[in-house]
This record gives sequence, structure tokens and C-alpha cells, in this order.
Amino acid sequence: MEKVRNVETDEKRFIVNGKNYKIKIEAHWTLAYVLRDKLGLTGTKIACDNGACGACTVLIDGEPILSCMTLAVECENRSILTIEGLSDGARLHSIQEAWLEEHGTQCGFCAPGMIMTTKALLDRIPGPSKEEIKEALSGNICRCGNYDHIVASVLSAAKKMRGEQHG
Amino acid sequence: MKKFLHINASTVDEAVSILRQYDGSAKIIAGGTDLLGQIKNRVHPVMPEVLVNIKTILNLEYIKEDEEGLKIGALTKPRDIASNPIVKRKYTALAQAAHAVASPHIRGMGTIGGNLCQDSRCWYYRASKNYFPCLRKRDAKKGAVCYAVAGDHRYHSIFGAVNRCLAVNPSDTAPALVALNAKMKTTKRIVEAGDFFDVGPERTTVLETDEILTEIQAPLPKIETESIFVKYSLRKVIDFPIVNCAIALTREKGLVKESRICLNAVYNLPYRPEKAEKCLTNQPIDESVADEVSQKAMEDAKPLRDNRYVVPIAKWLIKRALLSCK
Amino acid sequence: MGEELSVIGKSVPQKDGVERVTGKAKYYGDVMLPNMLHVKILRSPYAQADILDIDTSGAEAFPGVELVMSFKNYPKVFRGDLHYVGDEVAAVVAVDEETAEEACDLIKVTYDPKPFVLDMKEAMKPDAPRVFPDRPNVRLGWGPGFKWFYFSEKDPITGLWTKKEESDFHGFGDVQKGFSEADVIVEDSDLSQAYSRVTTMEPRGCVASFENGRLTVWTHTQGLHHTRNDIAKFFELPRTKINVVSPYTGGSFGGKVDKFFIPIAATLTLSKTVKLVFTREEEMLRGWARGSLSRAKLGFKKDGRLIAMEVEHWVEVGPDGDSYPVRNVFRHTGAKLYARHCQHLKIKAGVVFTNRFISIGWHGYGTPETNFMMETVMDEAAYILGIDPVELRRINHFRKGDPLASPRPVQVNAQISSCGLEECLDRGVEKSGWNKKWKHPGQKRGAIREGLGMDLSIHGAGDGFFSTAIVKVSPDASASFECGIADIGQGQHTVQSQIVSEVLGISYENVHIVCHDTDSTPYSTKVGSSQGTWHQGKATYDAAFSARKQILDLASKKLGRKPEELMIRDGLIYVEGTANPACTFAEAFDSLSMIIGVGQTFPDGREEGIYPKEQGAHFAHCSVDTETGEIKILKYVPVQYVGRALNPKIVEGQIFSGVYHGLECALLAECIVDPKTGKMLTYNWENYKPLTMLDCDIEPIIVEIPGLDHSHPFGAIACGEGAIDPVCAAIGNAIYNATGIRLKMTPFTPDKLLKALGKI
Repeated sequence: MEKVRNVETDEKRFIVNGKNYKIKIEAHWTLAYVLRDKLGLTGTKIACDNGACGACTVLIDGEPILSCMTLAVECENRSILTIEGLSDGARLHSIQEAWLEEHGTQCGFCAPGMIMTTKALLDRIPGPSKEEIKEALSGNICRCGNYDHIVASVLSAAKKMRGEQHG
Repeated sequence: MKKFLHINASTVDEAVSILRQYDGSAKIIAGGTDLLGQIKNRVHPVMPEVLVNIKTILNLEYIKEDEEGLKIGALTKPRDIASNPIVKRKYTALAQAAHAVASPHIRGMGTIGGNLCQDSRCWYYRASKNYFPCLRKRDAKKGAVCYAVAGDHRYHSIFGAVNRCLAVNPSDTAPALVALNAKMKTTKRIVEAGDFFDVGPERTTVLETDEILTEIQAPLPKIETESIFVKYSLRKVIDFPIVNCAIALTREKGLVKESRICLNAVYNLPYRPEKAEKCLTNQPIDESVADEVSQKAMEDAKPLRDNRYVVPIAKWLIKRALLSCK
Repeated sequence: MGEELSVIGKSVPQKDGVERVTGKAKYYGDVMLPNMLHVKILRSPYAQADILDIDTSGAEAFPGVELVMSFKNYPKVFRGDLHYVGDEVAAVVAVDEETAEEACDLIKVTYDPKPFVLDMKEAMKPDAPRVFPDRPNVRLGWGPGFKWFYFSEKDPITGLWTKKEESDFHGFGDVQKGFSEADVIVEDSDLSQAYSRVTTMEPRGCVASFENGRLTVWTHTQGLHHTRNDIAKFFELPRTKINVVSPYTGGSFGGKVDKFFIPIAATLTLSKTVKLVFTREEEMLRGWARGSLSRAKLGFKKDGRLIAMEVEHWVEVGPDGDSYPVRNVFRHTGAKLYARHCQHLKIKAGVVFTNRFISIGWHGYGTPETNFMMETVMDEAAYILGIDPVELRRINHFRKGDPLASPRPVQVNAQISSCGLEECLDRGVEKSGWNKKWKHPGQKRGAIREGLGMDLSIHGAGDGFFSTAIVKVSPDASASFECGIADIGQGQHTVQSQIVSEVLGISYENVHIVCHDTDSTPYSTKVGSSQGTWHQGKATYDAAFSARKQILDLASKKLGRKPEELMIRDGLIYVEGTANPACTFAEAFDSLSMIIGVGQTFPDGREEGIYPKEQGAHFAHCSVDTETGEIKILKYVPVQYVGRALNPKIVEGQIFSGVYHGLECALLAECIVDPKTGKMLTYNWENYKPLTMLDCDIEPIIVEIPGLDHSHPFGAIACGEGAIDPVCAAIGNAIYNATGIRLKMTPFTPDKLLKALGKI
């Protein structure tokens, strides 16, 4: 069935996880929608869809951004990193390894957003204190209440990234 | 979401001319964390047809200080204001207020202009699909009411209503700028911070539909001036304030020479309790003075059935803010 | 098998953790299929109304629309009577969500609005507007066909009740006699937990596809096979024509167990894939519970023995939602938790209908609100009797062997399999510093006052429905097993894999679980009542044990040894007491390619009359600011007796989960509606506030008492829900200890405290 009242843009270029995509989009599409429904990158989750939970966090030029409150059309030519881009083939990123070891996930729905926010934090502060971790992740909600394990995961990830642990 | 046209503006003039061209059916988008939520939920009877992106305009994001004082571009992120060493040291209330905004993500995505111009958070006003077509919606019908009056108004004004609307101004940075005696520079004029806020159809400022806020200016603080901002909310992050308070005061020989106190989230506009400021003049800051000032500040409160609890909390917040000034 | 365990009791990583941390895990909402259609639902603007007429022609003609559904063409799925703002009026199935949404606006509905009621107390008044015209708003019990029994005439020799009669009340003995023999009576009423909701990250919904005569449904679920049965029954389809796919669920906590008949009905008509994802606002319409109004009267001897109890407990269910949670009122009364000395008990309980959103019992399933009632009044009693609250619990909690008066009409000599409460109390007292820090409220001074509160809880490990596991072992000492248990984040896939690994003696990494859909798995109980580990675990254990036995039988023939002399370790077979492996699996298997073991657990699969129960003691240290009404949790120590923690970090996670949800209920959570229209005002996560990382520190203690509970092969009891039950009362009791103010209604927001303090 044809779409109606198509307000399509020209082809827009998106750089996601180092790969170039060129697709036509509609101006009102959020980045979260384009990533999930158009590019097949469903790792980024939509939970509150209102900017109040952090589940949809991706990195744009290294900054943690709520993709459900960002228009895709404004992300053209910017470097976007999603959870799928963190591991290198079968090799997990240190943050992901730490998450597994410390049981940072229960249901897993908040994990992509938490992990991406963590990546931005550890790139900025390689050795954060517990307070700095909680502050940086305070906008990420976990409904399983797994916060303590998440903080432990970040502390462990920081050690791994500084080379203080094997992994 | 309702569809719209999206235009990247490259200059302020271009943005203004698009706003004029669409005569009320175009809105500017900066951080978008307020506007996109409204469009997603179809909050208003008429949603904008055009969004004008002003993030593509250069030179609207800066923090600088000159001989006149602090100048901040309207697109500057709260996160950068909060961490700027000059703002932290000399315009402390503003740095603290910027740090108190929402969540770390939003502090990095949003703008100070957006925080100042944001629409009210009243849960009647914000209900999806315009479920409550209240008197502050554009083209409100004759006889339209404020639903909070007869409804649940626990997060609404304790100082009465401007234009019969009970919704509070939710901004954290607004009271800080009022306390710092800042000015707002727009594409048309320069307005004192205290006069910048308003209660109009779908707007909380005096900005006209083709007018854009471009710069915030705070005067150089006098010697022995300090400022502070405190916020009370149910959760420690993400939440809008139940009440916040900014105080800027100048002392001489330990006595308060002049002060500006501003509360927000307790009234439709940032609230200056001038009686309280008067009784602070020529006083030292101690427990009993702080008590008296906070009492005076709330003297004109007319809380309603569901929001009486805000009065003691506001008093305590003012007291705490005052006593934190060394 | 010896008691030295290599996998059980270790915090091995989640079996499906890699998928979760890489974004590869496909939740139902991630299913994107070609030419998929989308559903939008038109919802009632009225709290109570009949649909007089509905004209869907405008929507049907809208380009991109494939189907418009209402009670006219789908009378089983939609009703013509509506009972809450947001109730389902009609649905549009279209090429995308936006088209469906626009078409919904074109549906013309003529409503006949009716009076409505939004508050429990109001709804219970005789002249209240009726939610349903054909029945009163108040209904005794937990569902049509329920039965209450009153037990009397105790046999002095056996101690068992000999007379059982149907009644409007549950209970035993003679409460009038009991109260007359009591030295002290403590009673209170208007104890109330607020209507609050399960909140999960993942919103509800499903994807349904009917193709080539088979229906595939991707959704979140707590029981894949249960969901399949429900769909089969509703649509009168053979079960074998339906495949329910649910490898991951983004949180459920008991409250996300809906059935989504709209997209399923649509796909059965259109033979195209149909997707329904609730928006957050729609998600907020479902999954409410807890709303309660209770009173309790307790009769004590002056030495603290609780000998008689009378309880009245009402639960709000919105317009006829899940009323089963009422049944769990027994847990914290003299029927179970305080069975030690309680000789006389009378319980009257039931549900109340209102026009406030359909309830689905969640996380605790009726127990938190009854715990709140009981443990608040027990705390009051402690002060009145002049007995330390911890001591009062010690005197009165059940001991192993105390008979329970379960509401089931089957057993009267039911017992709990083990009691870990003494240990819980000891550990909690120590960690919280109770004996050092506790002071009477009369001694508290200053604007900010600190207080300690505690309470007990008990929770079921349920009895499950029916569980199966099929373990398939290969000659290379790897195994896969089929098990349809749902993993909703509570770690079932991990724990069941640990059981297989331990029993077979092979590495955890070499165990693969097949669990994603009903086609590839045998029937499994739904997870609920915290019985997944216990119920499915027994089936998994039996299946692995059966395979192990077959392997050892083969090895014994090969080696000329008795099977009892052999053991398996690290995937190799040893003669007990020797250092070198005697043979490999491949050598034992010889020409066999696979060994299969099957295990099944049946309903009531426990030893007759013995029930395992999770137990806990919680200790809260709070500060109360008497100027602002703000309550701060300084330290929260939940001590949970779980039998054995098969995976300690998972158990810890379960405790965090329970306490966080409990703290939300205590401090923030409530259903707020506009009183004039019934429209929900807590429609998003700005207005209904989930606790953030900054809001509390919890220090959980897991109590395991090896050898104490034999009802499960590894001694596991449960750890799903026990941690949420006691939280509200623990906080309420701490507030009382700090200020002398007894708050009887959650959430404990500043306005309530300030009012009680006389400040406003």
C-alpha cells in the first residue's frame, strides 16, 4: 500500500558504527525510529519515549544523546555509535565483558542505554569514583532495580579499560 | 508524530523570516527535548507545520565575560554552563541551577534558551491529544477553564493565578537569572529577566511568534556578592522542581546591603518576595534572620487544598539557601 | 552425588547475557518483518460509558488502512460498554502507526456517558455509581466460585481441626473467645496501600502472524505455554497450530501478563503480520494493583503471645481486573506467618470495583498490602505491650511443624518446609545496629529525627502448574536441554542451565538451553508466585538425573563397576576416590549418539502437605525532616532466607528488585486521576516516578541454611517476590520510631507527614 502525504527528504547520509547509510527519511522521524525500523539496528530500545529514562541512549560524536528525542534529519553526517557498534565481531568490549561478569543485566532492556552512557563516561573519565558513576548514569532508569550491579559493572569496566584486569 | 517540514536556518535573520512567513505555525527547535515531547503526544489542538532548526546557526553557543558581565549564547548547553569555572565562581546560582536541570543527558542536549522558554509542565495542559482543552491552549474556546482548579493541583501555584491559569513556571535557570538581575537579549529587544516571563497561549515568555532569544546577559557582580541556588524535588534527578530558590546578595561588613531572592515553580512566573528582601536589608545572616525572611517570603502565599505542603518546604528552602551563604 | 558443588551456588554469568549486552537480543518489539501492519487503538474518553453507535467508514476508507475493528465485527475482542478512561473502543490496522493513528481520528463514536467512581471508599458506599449495572461494587473473595472455609473443633490429641464449614469468612477457632482471653487488644483501621503499578522498561504488545495455517505470536510472557493455551482457547484453535515466541522479556514482575487478542484477531482475518506496541501512556493503563483498605484487630497475652486475630481486607481491582491477589491475605496472619500461638482467626476479604484502570496483580501479588496492614499493627502492638518489635516477632513467628490453615480445602495439616526467620532476625539486628541504635520516639529531638523500623515477611514458592524438561546429552560431554520456562530477567535460563551442568557433571559453558518458543519446548509452568526455580527446577533436575543415570549405567557396564561407585566431573567419568578419569562420555556411549532424560513436575508436586516458603526480615533506618516532611532512607537491610542461592548474584538482583519496587510504593507510587473526569494524570515517567540510581542504597543479606530445607533437590526455595512484601511497613515503622507519627496510607509523601505533624 502506498504511503500518503509523503514528506520525504532527499537521501540523507548517516554514519552509524563506522558504516555509511544513505536513505530517504521523513523530517519527523526520530533517530531511534530510523535506527530501529529503517536500519535494522534494534539494539537501541525505546522505553518511556519521553526523554525520562535513558534507554534510547546512543553516542553522537561521543556524546550520550537520547535518540527518541532527537530528529534523525538533524543527525546527518554525524558519527553515531550504537550498542551494536561496541563489540568488534565476536570480541566484546570491556564494558560488555564487565557487565556479564558483574550481572549488570537482569531483563536487559536498559542495558544498551546504560552501556552507551558508560562508554561516554569512561572515555571522558577513565577512573571515575562511585559518585561520578552514579551522577553520569543518573538519567538511566533500570526497572529491575539492578543499580548496585550496574555500578559494580562500570567500576570493573574502568579497570579493564585501564588495563588493570585481564579481559 | 504529526508530520512537519524541517528547515535548517543558517542565520538568525533567516530563522526570523521563516517564523514570520508561517505566522504562528512555525516553531524554532533547539534542543528539542520539550517541543518533540509535545508533538509526539499531540498536546495542542494545532501542532506546528514547520520546525526551524536554529542549531545550525553559528555563534549562538558561547560563554564569555567582558567588562559588562557574563554573556551566554542562547544555544549554550546547561552542562557547559554548570562546569564553566567563571560561572561557578562568580555567577554561582546560575551554575548550580544549570547543574540541577533534568538529567545528565538532557543537560548535554538542551539549551539555556530552551530551559528559559520551556512550556509549562502542568499535567492537564500536557495531556495527550488535548484531552483537557484548557484556557491556555491557542484559540481556547470561550468559557475554557483551568482544569487544575477543580482537579488535582498538588504541583500548581501557591500564589494564585495570572490570567486564571494555575500552572507554574518549571525552569531551574529562570530564578537564578532573575536573582542575578540578568537581561535577555532577543532579536527585537533587551528585557530584564524579571519581565521576561509571562502567561500566554502556549507560551511562558513575552516572546512574540517571530522573536527569538539570542543571548543572556548577567551584570558583573559587585564586590562581596555571592549567589546560591537550591532545588527541592521528589527525586534527586530528572524531576522538575516542586520549588527552587535562587538568592544573590551583597554584603558590607557582614550585613546584607542588597539582595534578590527568586522562587520558582510556586507561581506562574518566577516569584520575587520583595517583602522578604526588605527585611533582609542591613541584617546579618543568622538563624533568626533566616527564619524571619523565609516567613515573610511566604506571607502572601494562598495555597490550595492539595498544595499546602509546598509552603513549609519553600520556607525551609529559602532558609537553607540563606544559611549556606557563608 | 556429594555435597560439593561446582556450579550451583556460583554467580556464573547469564546464559543469554551476551545477546543482552550486545543489543542482539530480540524482544518482541524488535521483530521487524516485511509488509508488517501496525495497530492503533481508539480509546474511551469517558470513565464509564456505553457505545450507542460507532461509524468506522471514514477510517476504513482512509488510504493505507487494512482493517478497522470494533465490537460490531469483533464482539469477542471489544465490548460495547466502557469502564475507564482509555478503555478499548476500536482498533485500526494500517501500513504504519501514523496512518493508523490518523484513521482512528476518523472513527465516529456516539457515547452515552454514565456516572463513575474513582475511589475505593466511595465505591463501597451503598449509593455509589455501579461499575457494572448487574453487580455491586463489592465482592467477597477472589473470584467467582471461590470458597471460604471456617475450621473449628480442634482434636486435643492430633491438634488438627475436625470441623470444616463453608462460610463468608476464612479462619479457625472462635475469635470472640480468643479476644475475651486476651490481656491486650490492639486494633487499627484505614490502613491503605495506594493503587500502584508494575513499571517495566519494555512496554506491552505483541507481533502476530498467521501464515500457512499457523499462527506465530512474538510477545513478552511469563509462561509461553500458558499464553499459547489462552490464545488457543479464545480463538478455538488447536494448540499445535500456534507458536508463541518469547526469548526475552523486558521486565514483567507479574504484572505484564496480558493477552493481546486485537493483533491476533487481525492477523487471523488478514493473514498478514500485525504489530501492536503500546505507547508509554497506553502501557500506564494496565498493571495496577495494591490498592487496599484494611483493618486488623489483634489479641495478645501480656507476655506478647498473639492468640487471636480478626482481619478485614479489601482490594481495588479497577473494572474487574485480577482479583486473585486477595487470596494472599492469609500469608501474614495467624494462618501462616504468626501460626505459632494464634488459636483464633477470622478473615473477611474481597475486591472492590472502581473506574480506575484494570488491575493485574504484580510483584508480591497481594502480599505487600496485607503485610503492610499486619506489620503496621504488630508494630503498634509492640509499643503498646512495651516489647521490642524484634522480640515480639520472635515470640510469634511460625516454627517448622506449626500447622497452617491454608485456604485450600485439601490439606489441614499443612506445614512449611523450613523456618529461617530466626537467622534472618539475628543477621538483620546485627547489620542494622538495631540493639545499639534503637530509641523510643519519645526520646527523639530536633528538626531531623532518625528512626528504625523492622518487620517480617513470608512468601510462597507456589506450587506451579506442570513443568517438563528434556535433556539431550552428546558423546562429547555437551548437552542441550529443552525447557519452556520464561526468563523475564529473573535468571531462569541461567539457573536451569546450572542445574543441568551440576547434575551431569559437565561444564556450564557446554550446556545449551532451548527455550525460545512453544514449538521447540515441552510444557513449562508459568513463572509467577516465585516458583520457577522450585517447580521447573525439579523437572530439570529429574531430567538431568535420568540422563546421568543412563550414562553411569553404560559406563558401569564398560568398566565392570557398579554405577554407585562412579561419578562425573568436568565431563569425565571417574571411579569414586580415584584421581584419573576412568572413561570418557564417548567411550561410555559407544555406538549411541545421544542420551535423553525427561523430567516432569506435576501440580502439587511437593511432598504431601509440605510447602516451601521464602522468608525475610527487613530493617529500615530512616531520617524524617519534620520541617519539610521529607523522608530519607539512610540504610535499608533486607534479609531474605531463600533456602539456597543457586546463583548468588541473581538472588541479590532479585532482592534489589523487590526492595526498589517496595521503596517506590512506600515513597512515591500512586495512581493519580483527575477527580472530575477519571483521566489518569500519572500517564508518563515524569508524573509516575521510577526510582533512580541516586535515590537509595540497599545492603541485601542472603540467608542460606544448608540442609534445612529438603523440598527441592538443591535446597532452593524461592527468591522472586519476598523482598517486596515487607518494605512499606518497614519504612512506616521507621517513620513512627523517628517521630511518633503513624502513617497508615502510602505513599509517605511530604504532605501526609506535614499534615500529621500539624504543620499544614
